[in-house]
Amino acid sequence: MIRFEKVTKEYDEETVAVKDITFEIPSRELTVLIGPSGCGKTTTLKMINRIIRPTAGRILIDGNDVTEMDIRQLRRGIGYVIQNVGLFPHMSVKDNVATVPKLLKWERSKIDDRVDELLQLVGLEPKSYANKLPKELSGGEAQRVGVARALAADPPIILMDEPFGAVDPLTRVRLQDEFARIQEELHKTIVFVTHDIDEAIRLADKIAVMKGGRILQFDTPEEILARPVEKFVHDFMGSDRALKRLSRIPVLEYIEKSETIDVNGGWEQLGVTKEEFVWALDEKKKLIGWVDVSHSSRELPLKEALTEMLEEEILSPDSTVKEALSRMLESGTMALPVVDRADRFLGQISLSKIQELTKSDREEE
Amino acid sequence: MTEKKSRVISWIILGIFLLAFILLISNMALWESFLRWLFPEEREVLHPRGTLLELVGEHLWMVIVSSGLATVIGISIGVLVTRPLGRQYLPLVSNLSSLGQTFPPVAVLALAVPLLGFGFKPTVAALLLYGLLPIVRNTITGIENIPSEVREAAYGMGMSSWQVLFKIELPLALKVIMSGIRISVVINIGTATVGATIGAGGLGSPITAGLVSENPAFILEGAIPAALLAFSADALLANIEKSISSE
Repeated sequence: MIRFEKVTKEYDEETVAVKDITFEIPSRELTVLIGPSGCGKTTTLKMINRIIRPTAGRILIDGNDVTEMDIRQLRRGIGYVIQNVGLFPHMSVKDNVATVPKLLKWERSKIDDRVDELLQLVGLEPKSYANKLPKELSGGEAQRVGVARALAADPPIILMDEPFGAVDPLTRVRLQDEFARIQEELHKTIVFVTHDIDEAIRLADKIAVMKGGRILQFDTPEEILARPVEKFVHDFMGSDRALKRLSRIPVLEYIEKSETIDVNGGWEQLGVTKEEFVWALDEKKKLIGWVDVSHSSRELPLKEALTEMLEEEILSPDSTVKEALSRMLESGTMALPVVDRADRFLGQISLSKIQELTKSDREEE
Repeated sequence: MTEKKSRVISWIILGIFLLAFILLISNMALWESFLRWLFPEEREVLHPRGTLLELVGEHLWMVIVSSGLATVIGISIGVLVTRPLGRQYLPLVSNLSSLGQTFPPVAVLALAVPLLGFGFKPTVAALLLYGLLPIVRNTITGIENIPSEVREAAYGMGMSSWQVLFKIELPLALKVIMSGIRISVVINIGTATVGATIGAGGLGSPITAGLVSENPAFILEGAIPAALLAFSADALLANIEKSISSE
């Protein structure tokens, strides 16, 4: 846990970068500091590893004041990924990644193993990348090496200053996804600075919205999107904040039970129903498609009334509600099925349910 | 691969060239017949001070001592003024070193005489002072041109100032520093010929003697090897520079 206690950083009387902030960054979660340029987010980050010294207040890591710790020990225990990666241009990828383990005087064989492991973790094949020089890497690859370097000595804390800022949007999204997967596995305490709200929403467990050196709101992304505390936060989240919020919610939360029918049976399985269609499953509860249950179609054998589903119309449990909504709009349907990894039917998510839930959130405001 | 190959080839060419140079200056009979053929009416075509090998030896010794010291001192100054403690002197040193280079080398040498007298030592001192400038300037440029994020990453990962200097800054600045040393050495080889006028010996001796006694054979005896020496030193250091940067 990283605790800021009344921390202020002023360069002179006119320029105050950070004004008296007090908050706690939870352990093993990813906290995003976000805000427009000059809001103090980078200063806040860099005070943690003492690249910048606070003018007043204390920063405590697990109860220890960072200004009282040995600066090199402190920094070797904190992974650091900076804006333009900052790989050492004269060192190979391997030597770059091995920087902190070497400072900590690890054994050579241990370092070699660790470098291989990390390159694999960030999706770079060690054999072909270990001996490359930074100038031979693409922007995305360099960023991956930067992340691997920060993780090298397995520090509990990682500071990231706009780590994916310098790559093209497509690569950025891929890096974000991969990074989210790594974090899921490692559960580091990460402090992440960005000005990209989509990035924040995609990655954050918690978001601190900053402006003018103060933290305006510090909460989960869902909460900030649903209930921004003031106009600035509201505007900063963008006019599509309802959609952004849906991108944070897995379909599992909005899933509902619905009527199904066994394709091997007949129409008699269905009693009186209000539905216009039902999902058709096989004997193993695998989703096959859907069946129109209007009276006209009931004259046909069940199998002939069956419409099979396209793959893009089926959702997995880790899809987001935003994805579900988008696919519904695309396919012009009012509901889509959710299946598990073995294609077994879990339930459906419907347009009316999404509306109902987003509406009830609004009313709480 | 091809880069490596071209590097090996350039080293081989350089080796052949240097070997030819040494053979050329060690064969006095060849020089004598060459200069005699050019200037048949001169009484003497070779300067009596010593063999060419000896003259080149003297010359090189002046250059090696002065450039060696200039390298050590120059890099130290460049490093000092880029540290937080010495940074206040950075503009001063950087301006002085640019300004100093506009001074003609001969003038520097001439100024050294009233201060240090005649002979080897004042020549070396003057060469050292003059040779310092490109090295100081290139050391500063090399270190200052390192992207700030590289330095920030190094400190951020817990390197000490010494580790940042020796593992990051100097290796990255090495190529630029090397080219400073190259410039310094080449200038010094040329300037050292003027050292003969204040009695320092070297390849300047036959040149000066030739000028005084109006003997063009003496002038060529000193000037041709001096030019070849400057050229070889430049090629050698350029090759070293290239090998470092492509590592």
